[in-house]
Amino acid sequence: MNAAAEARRLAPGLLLTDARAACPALRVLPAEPEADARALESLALWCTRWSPKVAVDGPDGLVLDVTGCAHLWGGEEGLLAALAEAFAKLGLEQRAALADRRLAARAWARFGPGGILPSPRALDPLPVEALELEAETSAALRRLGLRTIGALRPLPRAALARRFGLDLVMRLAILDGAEEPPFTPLVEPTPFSARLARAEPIATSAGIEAACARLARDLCRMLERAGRGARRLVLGLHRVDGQVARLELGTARPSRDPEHLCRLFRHRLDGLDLGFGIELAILEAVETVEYPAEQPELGAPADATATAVLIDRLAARLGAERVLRPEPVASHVPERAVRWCPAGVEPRPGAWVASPLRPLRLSERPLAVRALAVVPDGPPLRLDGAVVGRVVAASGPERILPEWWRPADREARPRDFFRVRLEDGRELWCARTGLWEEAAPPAWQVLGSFC
Amino acid sequence: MNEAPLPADRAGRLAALRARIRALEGRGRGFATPPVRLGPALDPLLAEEGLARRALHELAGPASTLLALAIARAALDRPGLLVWCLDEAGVRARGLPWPPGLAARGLDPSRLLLVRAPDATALARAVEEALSSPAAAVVLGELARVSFDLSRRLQLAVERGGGIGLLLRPAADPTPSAAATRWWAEPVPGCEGPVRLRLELRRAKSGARGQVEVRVDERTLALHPAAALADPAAAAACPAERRALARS
Repeated sequence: MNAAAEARRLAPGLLLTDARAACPALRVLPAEPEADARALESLALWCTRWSPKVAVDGPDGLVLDVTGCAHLWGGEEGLLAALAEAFAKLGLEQRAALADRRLAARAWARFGPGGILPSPRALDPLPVEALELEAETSAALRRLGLRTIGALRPLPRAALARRFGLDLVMRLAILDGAEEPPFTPLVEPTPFSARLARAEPIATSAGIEAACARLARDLCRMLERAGRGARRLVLGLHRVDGQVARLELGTARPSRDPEHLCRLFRHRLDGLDLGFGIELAILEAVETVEYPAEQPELGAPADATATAVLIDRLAARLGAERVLRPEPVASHVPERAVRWCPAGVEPRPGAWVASPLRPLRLSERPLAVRALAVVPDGPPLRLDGAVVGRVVAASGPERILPEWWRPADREARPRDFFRVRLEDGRELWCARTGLWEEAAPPAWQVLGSFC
Repeated sequence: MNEAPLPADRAGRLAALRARIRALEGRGRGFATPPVRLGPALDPLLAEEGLARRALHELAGPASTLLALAIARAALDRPGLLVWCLDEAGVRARGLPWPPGLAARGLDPSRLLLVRAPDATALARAVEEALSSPAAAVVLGELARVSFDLSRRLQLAVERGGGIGLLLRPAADPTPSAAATRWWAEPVPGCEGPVRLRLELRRAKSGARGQVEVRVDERTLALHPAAALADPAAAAACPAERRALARS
């Protein structure tokens, strides 16, 4: 409910006809809780400008841990004022409260006037609902005439615990300053974070690149001092309109080379929607590993660093799932013998089964062909269909059985593989599925090529 | 410009002059890059007694994959990756490289980096990126269309990187390009026996041209001269052998 709605006496739970009667100009939109949640989450990311520890609180709240952050805005009043101003710029209404405990701050924002909580006793006139108890407990308290938090204070805690459960007593203790369970921030804060705020928003890609270069330089200096290298980085670009673009990327090897990191982000910045400009950019190393200063090796042009740089650049351009390294899989089935893994991950060692009969290339989707053979289980004499040609030489068969212990192979049938040479000289790897004696005629496929 | 005097003999003088031209062209900067030796079958065709590194070579024809891997095998005698770039259209048409088959021919799959680009534009960029990296000893790019400008860009990239660039083309392409050589590779139609290829050097910067038939050793991917096998007597023996095989 915003102020304009309250002035017209609108309230949640009102019938639509009543609301229309109270305010004829009302525009009605269906509720979209998921979209609201997404918007709240993006607002939470936007709030990381005040504190790294931010979380979504309920369907309509945000909680910020501003411990050690307030002095940057000239104290707690300054922080609240800056917050109010920024929200007003976005056109959002808010009520912020600041207290030693989250529970107290929530009560002060939702049931009190907001602002800085002067003392825990200030919460006394608030209704018991501010304690966020279960509905029955609050109702039971009300029935007994215990309407405010203050009314609960003089009562013996042991009796309260016996009658209304331990939860109520613990909440009262928290208001008095007891420890509160920690909350999980939306983004885990990292000690390696560089930020760049601009009064004048950056709206050109050249400007963003320059900002990126500066952030990378700052971050790498931090990493160098700590003797660490970044494995995963997040660049948060806060747009003027409150949207936050988060670009995340990983590196194949720990790195603290500003030029390299900057180049990786450059590919991602292409085609990014900058809106009306970026007012704040934050570069964080969210995953770092020990990375001692190293001496560049002399005379080794193709060392591991160059490999990692190449993999990172290709992965930044195309996506990690398109830059691959093969990993052997212990399987006789040709389609399963290779697992293509993202190149940034160290492949698991294993032996390749070397066999001269194997083709150089394997189709992802085998081509179905028809074949003529002299004897039912012999090599083909002629191929027809997707590949056409007379077979001048063939070697095989090599029978490969399905792996019966895999659920996917339960229905699969054995295959006989042939290496065939067509009259034009091409060499192909063909397979016949099924045996001649079975009811269905055997099916032929071309799976790969030798040239 | 004070340059070392040319040697007196003809061969030495030619070699020295070629080295100067290479230096002028920007190739062979930094450290010397010996060419990729392909054995007695092909080396005499080529000006540098081998296929130049820091250069592009276009390979077309139905057996281009086999020729490319034979060159890659020879070029991987120094450290570095074999970067194989293709796009989804190439995967559909020709399939993915298959490491068990490569391992069987002496190519170490742990040195293979596969790049699957979504389209031709991304593929061209990926090939350029790979060529310009010192980590790549061989870059194999399956580019369907290469304009002259693109080939020139790729040539500049490979001069920075120092590897050898092999552009795999599905079909013959008459457009000019900055590649140092252009090859056509097709299997010799015929019968069984070892795999034989007819290789044609269709264009080279050095002006050389030629055609040669080679026998491919499937264990090592070495290319041997196949003159001895190209006689009609061997071809005549073919049908009998095929019958024998069909019976077995």
